[in-house]
Amino acid sequence: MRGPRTFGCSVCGSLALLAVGCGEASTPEKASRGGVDAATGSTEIAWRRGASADGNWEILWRPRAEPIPALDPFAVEVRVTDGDGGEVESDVSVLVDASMPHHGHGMNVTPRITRTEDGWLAEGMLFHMPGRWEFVIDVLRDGEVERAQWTVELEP
Amino acid sequence: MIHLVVHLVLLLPLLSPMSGNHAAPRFEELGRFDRQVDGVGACRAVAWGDAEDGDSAPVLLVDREGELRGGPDGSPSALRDIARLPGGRLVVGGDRGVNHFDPKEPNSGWTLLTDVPARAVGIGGDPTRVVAIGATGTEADGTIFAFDPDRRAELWRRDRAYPGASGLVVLEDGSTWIADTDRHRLVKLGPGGSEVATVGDRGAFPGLFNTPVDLAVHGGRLYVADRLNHRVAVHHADDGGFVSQWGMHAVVPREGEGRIHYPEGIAVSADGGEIVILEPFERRFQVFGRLAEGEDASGTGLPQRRGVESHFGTDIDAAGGFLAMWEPESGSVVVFDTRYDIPIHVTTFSFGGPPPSGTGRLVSIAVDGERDEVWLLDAGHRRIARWMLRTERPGELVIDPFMGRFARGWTYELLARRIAEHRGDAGIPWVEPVDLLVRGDRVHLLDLAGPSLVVADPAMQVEEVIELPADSRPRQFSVLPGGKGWLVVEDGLRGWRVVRPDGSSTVVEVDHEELLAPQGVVEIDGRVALIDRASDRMLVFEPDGQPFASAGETGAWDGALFRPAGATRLPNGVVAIVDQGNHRAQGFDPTSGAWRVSFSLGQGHDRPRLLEQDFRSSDEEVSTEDGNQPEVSP
Repeated sequence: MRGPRTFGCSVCGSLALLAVGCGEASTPEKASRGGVDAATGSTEIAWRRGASADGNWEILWRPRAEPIPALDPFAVEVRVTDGDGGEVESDVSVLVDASMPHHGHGMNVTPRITRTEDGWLAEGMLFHMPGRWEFVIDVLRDGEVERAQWTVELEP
Repeated sequence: MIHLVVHLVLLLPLLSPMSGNHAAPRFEELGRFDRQVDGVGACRAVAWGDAEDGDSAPVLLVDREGELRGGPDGSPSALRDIARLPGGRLVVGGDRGVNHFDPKEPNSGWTLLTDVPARAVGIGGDPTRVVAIGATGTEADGTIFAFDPDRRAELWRRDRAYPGASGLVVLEDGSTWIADTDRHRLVKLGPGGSEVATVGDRGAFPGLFNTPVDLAVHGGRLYVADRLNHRVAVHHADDGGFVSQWGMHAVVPREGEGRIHYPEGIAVSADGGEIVILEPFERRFQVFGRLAEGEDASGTGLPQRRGVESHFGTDIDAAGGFLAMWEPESGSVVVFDTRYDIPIHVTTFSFGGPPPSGTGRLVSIAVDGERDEVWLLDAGHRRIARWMLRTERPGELVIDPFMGRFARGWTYELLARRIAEHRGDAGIPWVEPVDLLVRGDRVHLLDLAGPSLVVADPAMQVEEVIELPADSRPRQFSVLPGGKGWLVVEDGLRGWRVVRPDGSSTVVEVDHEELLAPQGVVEIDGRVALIDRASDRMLVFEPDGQPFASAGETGAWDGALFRPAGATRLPNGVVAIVDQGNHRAQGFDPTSGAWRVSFSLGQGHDRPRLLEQDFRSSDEEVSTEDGNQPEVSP
């Protein structure tokens, strides 16, 4: 009998912040740290990329502050394209959330999500303790929802 | 002394818990355990009759079959709920509508108010009115109706306002409290049906609810049967403010004696001196009386830490290397690794909460063994959810809290639209899926509302809809291997229905004294195993209905069952059954009926440890639903 399958795209290191896209088909992708984009050297905060579980959505997100602060509110920008990279229709919306499954809790707050010119802004996120957080973005349209997930390690 | 009295009077409002603007109570509180009556079966509803000649008032019951026990002659059948006024006016609701009984009426006294199927009914107010909630699985689910029973006229209605709502009471002023079950709150409607207040949210702390299912009112108090908090909550009847709670369960099946386990019905006697709590899960009811001054009610301690325990829901499924069940109280899904003969708990995911990844009221669970995924039917949120199982520690048999990852979900409303598109219908049907299985690359759904079988691809695109007879009320099903069809068990069917891919079906009825209320069904190499919720048996039949093997008896020891529900087959061929009433699952050999394994969270054994003599020596005789029935009037 086959044993449980490995989840290949979840990598947790000792970085202050490491975020990896966890859609079923996504390839592990290390994000920048300390506000410096590893590929370009830009000080602009890098976008994290991932696919939703069934690959119907490509999702980019980045915090507005890096590293993500422990115990302080922060905001997250989100952009979504369809699986082919095309713009999404106006009936698409997103939910942004995070949890610590091994502790059995999520955030103590509900972020306020607003539509922006090129995506969404989730304000009022709060990781209220250091450790491993599972950061999720749900894309909703017409009675369907599909999730992308990243692991975020937050050091004290 | 005078000063002391004045001060005490001034302090009284502050001492009364959650008193708000309420005056100090002038009536006697209820909550002292008085008696329990076992062996009444899994009754559906309860009410009080009138006391006569100084005797205790009788209890009226709607039994497991939907028959009224202890009420006037000629009552309708297929009932779901009952409510009664002192003096004998009575209202019953069920699969065939809402009926009113007035003892002053000539002829039989029974009159039909509506033929709309009803799940709950209430009667009260001045002038008297009847209020009803439409039945689950019908287009009237959650619709609230109010009637003038004397003119037999509808006063108002609110279509599908509270889907899943399952209990109500009517107050003297004509307003109504609704147990809005799936939203874990109470809703007050004014005399004209408009919503005027909501109270509560999901939780275990005082003032919160976990699946409130029935209500009763007397003397300014509103009593709530809070099903998954295993207690009675007491609130002010005018504004819903919290007063107290009692009867809390201590996680020990059969405990009773003032401890409440899955309360589903509640009624206060006409004089307000007694309250009856119906516990179909325990096949009993308990009666509580008035408290003496300064006396605490039975079971007033705060609930234990609300972690994930071994309460399991009514379904189970295993495929590939995993087995999954859920815990209704916490809304969590528990997954076991089935590579060894004793299934080992390896992860728990999700909790009761808002969608998409929080759960409401789960009714079915399925494992996709090819893709290592778990599918959920969530009737509370009216959604289907798909979760992935992805361990980061392959090959290790350890708890992995990160294994379950929500992947995708669909609303029932979207499923209904896709069913309509598949049929080419303009109208969107009401759907109420009650069972789900994933076999191969197809998702199979059993829809109570259709009633029908729906086959969809993994993206929930509907590919096939097979209608079932309109009068059938399907419960659970099994997918036959090789695309040969399905086996369906239904309410009221002593046997099963074989549904073929071409849409034709055959009923196999079985005359077997232990086949009373089949719930689970599993195909076993051409034979059919039925799990009987009333007789506590697994019964295995040949395809023509001839008995082949049986397992189980009523009890709590290894090999005995109490209100078993769904079943599935483990990789080693053993049939695993949710032994719901004993807070565990058990495995049986489908050929010999021999017990093989008992398991729950954090424990399991395949050599007998729970022996019958250990239970017999300390327990009173245990009765099945149809055995050792007591008199209705205690």
